[in-house]
Amino acid sequence: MGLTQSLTASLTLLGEALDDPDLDLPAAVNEFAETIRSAVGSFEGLSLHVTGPIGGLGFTLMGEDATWTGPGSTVGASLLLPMLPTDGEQCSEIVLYAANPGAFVDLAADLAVLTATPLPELVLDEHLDPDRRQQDITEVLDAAVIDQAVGVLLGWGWTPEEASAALDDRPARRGKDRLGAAAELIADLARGTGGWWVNPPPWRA
Amino acid sequence: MDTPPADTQQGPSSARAPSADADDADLQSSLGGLAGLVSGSFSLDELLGKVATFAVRAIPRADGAGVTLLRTDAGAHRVEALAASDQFVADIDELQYSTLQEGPCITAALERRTVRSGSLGGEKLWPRFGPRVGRFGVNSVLSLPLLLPGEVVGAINVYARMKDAFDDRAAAIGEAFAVPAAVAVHNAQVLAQAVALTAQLQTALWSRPVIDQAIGILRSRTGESTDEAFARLRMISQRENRKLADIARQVVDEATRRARARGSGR
Repeated sequence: MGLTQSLTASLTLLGEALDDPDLDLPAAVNEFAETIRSAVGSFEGLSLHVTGPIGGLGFTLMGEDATWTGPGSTVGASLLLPMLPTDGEQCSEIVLYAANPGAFVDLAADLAVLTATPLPELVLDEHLDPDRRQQDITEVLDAAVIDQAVGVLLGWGWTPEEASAALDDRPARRGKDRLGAAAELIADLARGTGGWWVNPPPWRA
Repeated sequence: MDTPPADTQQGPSSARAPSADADDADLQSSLGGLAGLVSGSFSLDELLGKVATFAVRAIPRADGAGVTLLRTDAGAHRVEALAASDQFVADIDELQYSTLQEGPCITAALERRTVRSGSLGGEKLWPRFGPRVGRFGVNSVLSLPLLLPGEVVGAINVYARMKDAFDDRAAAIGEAFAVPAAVAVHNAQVLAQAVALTAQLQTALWSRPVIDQAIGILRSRTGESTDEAFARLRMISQRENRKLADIARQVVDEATRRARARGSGR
């Protein structure tokens, strides 16, 4: 199943945060899709939403090459799997899509048994219009730039609160957003010209 | 070796032996066990172990069984997960998959058919595996592929110490057992992969921000690139045998403490 370039980059970035150098998250996503395809012949794709800071991560993959066929496409069945909550508040969830009506009935029954989950909690056929906006994700990559910029400021003696405020104030004065300001800072660092950022915050005595 | 086609089955007889009724009862009980794998959730390994145990119960004269999940990778099968009803089965399957890469399960999976032997010590089909298994005191094997439409997802190996333990009826019972077993273990694999994937993504989402901040701190102090700073964190993590996120957290906390100390004039 084809992953977009930004999704592959995001998953790779996330995979690096785990203590397993052999783990290939993009490959794991593809492997998961192929396992489902073996169980459900008309499998079309999946959506995955994982809870995390700043909204978490969500993406949708449809078709062999991740091309989205749009509303009125071949989704005739869906199955929502609520994954166990780890933060006590929200579940991550996976939604599977297939072309043939009833395609997930047997899988849902087996999963209900395996997890001792009441069958109604595995929601069948209520997600027949996958969110086409979730084909391309950049939030993970954007957050990495902002977090790295915060780290640079911490390294130069700014407190976390000062760093966060600076990334908001400075872009407001120069017409950039937070991500733009962070990217500018990282670029200045790479050029060896930290400039205004290098000194402690000007409001310190 | 007697390797009848996979579709060979004994038809019903007008005069059934008492043992046939007992065999049916064992099969039905085991199939019921497969259908009722409840009482709490199971990990994939636990489920495979239970399927192996049910297989021993279902198939006449079986002394042990192993269940293997396989994944096809570039035309070759690799072991995804496995479980055994007894230690001697685990030892034999280790021999088959890791040491020799030869044996009845591999043949059953590659050729998608039931495979059996009643005298492993002299088995020509597996010239290295057969004699070595004979030294375990195991003489008979019945291997059943776990099949989904168009795909082999694994195999069940059933072993017996007596020679010629598995006749046509045992093979037929094994094949009847393997059909729902294939679906059960494959769906368990779907669940295991779903749980693993979401757990990995969730952990990574919570860990990545502090790692990126630590990279920024190192870059500001050393002039290193992103990749160099990340490599340094990973090296420290491996050297100290601590998680990468924990190392990063320590770097960030120290930098924050210093910044606050400077800000307060201490």
